[in-house]
Amino acid sequence: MTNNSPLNDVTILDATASIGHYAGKLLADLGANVIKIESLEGDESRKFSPYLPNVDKLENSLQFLLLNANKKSIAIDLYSQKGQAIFEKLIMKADILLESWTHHEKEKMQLSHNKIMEFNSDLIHGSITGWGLSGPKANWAYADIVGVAMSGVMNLSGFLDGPPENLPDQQGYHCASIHAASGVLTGLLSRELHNSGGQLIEVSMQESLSIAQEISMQNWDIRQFIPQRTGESSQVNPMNLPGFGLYECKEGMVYIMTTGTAGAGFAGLVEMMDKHNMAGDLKETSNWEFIQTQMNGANLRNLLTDDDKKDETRIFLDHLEDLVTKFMLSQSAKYIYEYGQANRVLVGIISTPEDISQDNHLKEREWFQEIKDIKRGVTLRYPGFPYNLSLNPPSLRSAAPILGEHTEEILKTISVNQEEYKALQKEGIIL
Amino acid sequence: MNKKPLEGIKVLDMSWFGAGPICGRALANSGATVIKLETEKRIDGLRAMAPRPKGGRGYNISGYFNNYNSDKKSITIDLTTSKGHALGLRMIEWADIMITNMTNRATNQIKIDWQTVSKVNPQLVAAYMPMMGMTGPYKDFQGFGAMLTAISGMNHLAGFESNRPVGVGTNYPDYVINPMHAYIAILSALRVAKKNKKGQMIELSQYESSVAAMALPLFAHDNANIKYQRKGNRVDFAAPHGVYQCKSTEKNNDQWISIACLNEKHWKSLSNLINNDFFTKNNFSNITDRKNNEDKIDQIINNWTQKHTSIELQEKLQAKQIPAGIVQNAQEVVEDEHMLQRNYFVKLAHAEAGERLYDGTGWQMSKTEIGMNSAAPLLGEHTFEICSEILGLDSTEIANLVADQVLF
Repeated sequence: MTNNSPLNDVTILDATASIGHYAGKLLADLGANVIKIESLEGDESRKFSPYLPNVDKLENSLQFLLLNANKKSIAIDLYSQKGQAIFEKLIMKADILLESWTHHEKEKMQLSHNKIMEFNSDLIHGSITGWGLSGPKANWAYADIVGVAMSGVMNLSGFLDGPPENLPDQQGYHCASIHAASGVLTGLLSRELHNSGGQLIEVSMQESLSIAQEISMQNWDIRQFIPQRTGESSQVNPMNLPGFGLYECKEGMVYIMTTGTAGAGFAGLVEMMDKHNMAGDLKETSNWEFIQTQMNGANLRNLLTDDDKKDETRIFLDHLEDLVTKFMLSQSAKYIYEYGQANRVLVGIISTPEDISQDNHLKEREWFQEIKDIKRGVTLRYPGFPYNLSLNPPSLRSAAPILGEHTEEILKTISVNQEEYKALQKEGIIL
Repeated sequence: MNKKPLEGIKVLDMSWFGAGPICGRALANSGATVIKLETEKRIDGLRAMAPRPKGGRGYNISGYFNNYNSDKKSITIDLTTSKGHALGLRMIEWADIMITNMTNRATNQIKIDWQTVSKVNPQLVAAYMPMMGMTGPYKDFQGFGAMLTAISGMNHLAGFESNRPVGVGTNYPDYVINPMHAYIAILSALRVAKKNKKGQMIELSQYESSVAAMALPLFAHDNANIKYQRKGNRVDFAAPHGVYQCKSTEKNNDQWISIACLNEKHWKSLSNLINNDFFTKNNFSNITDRKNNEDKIDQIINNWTQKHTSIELQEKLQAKQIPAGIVQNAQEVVEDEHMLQRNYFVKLAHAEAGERLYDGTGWQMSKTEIGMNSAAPLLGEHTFEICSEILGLDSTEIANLVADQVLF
């Protein structure tokens, strides 16, 4: 596949641990030449379960395969002097370095940002860690779940009678990686637009997640109110209003957001119920007027805090909840999703990975990507890209690398000849 | 002084709610000139939402809105009028980048579709972010982040199996995943536009973008026939891994600490610290053993954590370099000594909302300045300034357009 992607002239060294793999993947998919720097034992995630069946150890981790396609691999002992000399030469030829080294690892390698910049003053150096490089917790140990916990995001997820819940599939690492990719691209643009040269881009996972607290931080700042996890309701709908949230259907479940002013609103939902003769008395004049004018968070909050109106409002809302619940149970989730959305009713369907895998919409958009992984003897189906660019689209060009697959090829680019290559291998500097 | 990274880049931000505006905000924080275009007929819906200072009224005081729109300017043009549309196209001519996360129906209706805008400005990078993309049978489906967590599989995968798939409590993909994916695509296309003088269209389906950032369960399903169920805070590749209840304090009886043993070293340190017979007897020195005994291990950790406050535990665990941290609430995050010393949150003065905290930038840069300089704009605050300085209108022309309800 030709590489017409927007970063096809950019070389990136990716020395990150799991926290940064998605950053390198985003940039590799956009065409960058991403060289993954691995230890001789291989990246930690090569050992992570779940595994691809019938494939050798270290080459079978699905997480590794997912996040490292389009990258090349060089296996090198960065703690050895000769390994460091090679690394320095690679830095001289790179545009971007991504790493997630701990304080301890940097000391062991005797590497610092300033020292790295001596090799290449134009280098965009991206550091991705749990807590950033400064501050009292800079050297603390981190994990995805710990970042999500410390950022305030986890406190919003789960039920009050149970523990707070982490988000699935390492969202702390994904958010840190996405911000790191954004940051190094910003640095690259600055270098190209303003000749600002190289610099350090620093990402703290905790900070990278904070903005996903939604209105939690402002609730504290403006009202001294501390939000907690909301179970069946949500931060923006703490009153658990009818027409908002999760409903069981005849088959499957839907998540709807009809109580509000967007789309066809709650009235649209009632029209849909009416089509099936399940709207009860809701189309009667006074009820219908209430539904058309009052079914949004702000108005309902006023009614429910008004001493004269709160009781009758609550009774009517319970009546609505009852009718909506019955209607949902009478139809399949897929019908409510498709028919509702066709009529601008805000319905989402609860999907499993299997559902997404077979989703007709994605199939028609040709979103999924396939690649023959010759080294592993399988054809793999990859999820597509987060975006499409009309002239320079992202592309899946090569399977995830075998440990050290490109060591020789990469060393050639810094004029290591075959004899030297063999000697380095013998010495245990490279694989 | 160094220029800001995106200084000189001009952005027309026609987006609303979360996913679009946060992308525009990031461009503004990086130094681009970002003009937010709204009309009073169809204001950004977040302007009407909580939290708001007590007793305040109007469109300008929502903390939800203001946090996501710092460093922007605001112009109000009614694009549905022909004069308004002509002005809108002149803004598009001015811009390097245009962002919208409206539905396809709306972008067609107000005629800011790619065909129209690329004719006016062939070098434009135009990012469209409708929920389901611009083609396919579901292309007109619309919604918010909490529906996306349902559609993209996050509800199914989040939380404990005993609970219903209610989601994660927020409109999660709106805040980092979708806006910052858009940012990455925009900067990549901008790089091409600056080199080759060619603009292009970016299509970001928020559904696809959300799935792309939690793709392992889908990838594992498609290639190894593995079916993921939600399993609380546990993961396949590490154990123990979860949150554990801590001793209540006077102030707070809902205290939890997150602990993750990602490798044998972490586990060994934790086992030594807890010093429990079951742990020493069984060793559990590999992940398979620990996964097989996870219930019992978690129970012992829970018994231990309940005897200590979360702060004590955090110090003890981190002193042994075990990944651990308190499940912090909003107040604890804002008052987190580490966040404070790193100056993450920024206080900005706003004419109607007062001095308020804003989230900082998602990264820091050593050489070029990024970050926030001004609070979110009032609705239409810069209409006059932009009309005269960018569109070259004189005050009579502007007054006439206001009288015609084109500008308001």
